[in-house]
Amino acid sequence: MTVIDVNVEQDSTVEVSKGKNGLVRTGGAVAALVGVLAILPSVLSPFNLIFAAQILIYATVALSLQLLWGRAGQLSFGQAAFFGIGAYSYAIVGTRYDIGGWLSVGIAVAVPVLMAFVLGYFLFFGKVRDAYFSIVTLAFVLIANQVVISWRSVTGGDTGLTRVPGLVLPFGAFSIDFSTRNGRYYLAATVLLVGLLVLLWVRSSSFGLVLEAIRDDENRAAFLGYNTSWYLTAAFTLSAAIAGLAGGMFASVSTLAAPDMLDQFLSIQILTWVAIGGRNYLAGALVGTVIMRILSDQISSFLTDSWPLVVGLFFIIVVLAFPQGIVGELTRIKNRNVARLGGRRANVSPK
Amino acid sequence: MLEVKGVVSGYNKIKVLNEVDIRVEPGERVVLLGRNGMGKTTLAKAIVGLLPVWSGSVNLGAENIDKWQPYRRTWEGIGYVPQGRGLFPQLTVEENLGIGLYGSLKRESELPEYVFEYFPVLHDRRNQTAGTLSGGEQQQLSVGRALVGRPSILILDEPSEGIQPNLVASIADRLKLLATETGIGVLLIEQNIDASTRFAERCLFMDNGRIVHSCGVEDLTTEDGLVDRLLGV
Repeated sequence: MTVIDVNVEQDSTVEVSKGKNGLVRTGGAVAALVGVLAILPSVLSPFNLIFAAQILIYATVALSLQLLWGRAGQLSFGQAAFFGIGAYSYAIVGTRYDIGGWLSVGIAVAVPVLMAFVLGYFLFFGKVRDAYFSIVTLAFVLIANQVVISWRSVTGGDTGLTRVPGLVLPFGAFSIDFSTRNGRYYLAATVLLVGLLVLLWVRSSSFGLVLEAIRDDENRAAFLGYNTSWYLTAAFTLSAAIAGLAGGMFASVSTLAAPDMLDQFLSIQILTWVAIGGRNYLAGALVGTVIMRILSDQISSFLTDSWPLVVGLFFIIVVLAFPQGIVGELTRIKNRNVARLGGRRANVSPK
Repeated sequence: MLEVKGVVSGYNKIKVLNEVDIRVEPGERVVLLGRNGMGKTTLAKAIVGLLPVWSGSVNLGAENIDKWQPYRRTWEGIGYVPQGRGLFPQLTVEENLGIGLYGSLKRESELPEYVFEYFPVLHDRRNQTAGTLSGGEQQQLSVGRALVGRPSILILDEPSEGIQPNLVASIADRLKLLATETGIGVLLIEQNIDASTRFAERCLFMDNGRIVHSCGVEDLTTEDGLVDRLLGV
């Protein structure tokens, strides 16, 4: 490589600083979330506590899609596939091989990660992007669903796997039992916080910044020196890891793994949760999932067959009214008020 | 040293470049002139790897780079300032520069000071979002971002577009100083004759995907009818 000899001292540099205010705000929001999660077991009924646990895990898988769609700009219909593969991996090793503890968690993550890496590598290095990427991921979830239904001897076919053991994690001489009712809730809360912390790290890292650059203009990121195919493959794999972890823990919390955990309907639901909350925001994935899961549950209690129609209508209305999602709209209002008060930072929405 | 030899390229099956030859030596200031649609931006994209080279070769020093991905060309020393600047408007000046820094092969964690020495306004506005900068400041940021990777060749695609004349002159002077002092070879793609004469030492004219004329920059002002004949103005 040609070395440039600039006539300025090479060690004369300026530090790249990180926004401290943003860090404080994020820390405060996470602390508030931990506080709410800690209070819920004392205010919810046992039935609602398990329902809350399921929502928290669904929120985790929604966060994983936010990474891929909101931050990296790749719309995947395959998130349920990795969620379901994680769930089945955990359930199969638990019910058929009596494997539990950390190893079962590791397998629930490793299997979807391996599949995502192989699929992502060939897709992204094969320059498959945008609508073609979405179509392939949709095909992937359809194939995964068909495999689970057909491979009856291992997966239990249409009925799936029941009596999946709860998780007990050893920590040296001690162990934490996550198979009790409260334990299952705390497991779900822990999974959500782990997923959230990983994605907060991504957001604040140069990796996250590059993903946003790729989302906005992949060519521009490429001539700035980034191997965009590697970055997208890494994002796809990390997203699958979080979805797989959520899936495995969902199997532990709900004690079953069923084909509807990895079908296209769940994939589309995850997508609607993220879209309604605001795909450009981590909080959007959380807010969207909580609202839509509670809404779906309430509506399906009296519209047992047609509830998806009502939820679909709600989705269309929200997306038309707030294209940036609920959190996006709230952010826009906040920024507008800050600007009125003389704030300097411009409200420029990501593409 | 950047050497483009007999390059043919285009979009899909439409040929735009017809055996283009260009050479930019270290520290040399070359301007590529031509009317709209003659293939100037296509050539820049072929050099940086955003378009495939159908035949011919692109060499950087002793290395043949025309099969390399764009990111590797950047790593090896090609800096590119695209038409329209290609900034991230919602990010601050510092974050925009940081993106260029993280992408460089050296993986430095700090911004090189020489960028701020040539473009001090970037230091003054380092915490301001790029979208709120003036056109001239945005252009300086775009150049600065390409410089943080310490390139050996800098390609700028119409940096004067949409900028008031006195700022164009100022940026042209800074680029001239930069090339002279640092040894970076600069290929400037332009339609602005004033900026070109102020900056360059050698001029190339492109017409219908070919280099049709090469001359010293002084010929732009001394040779009667040259600009009118080649640029149709």
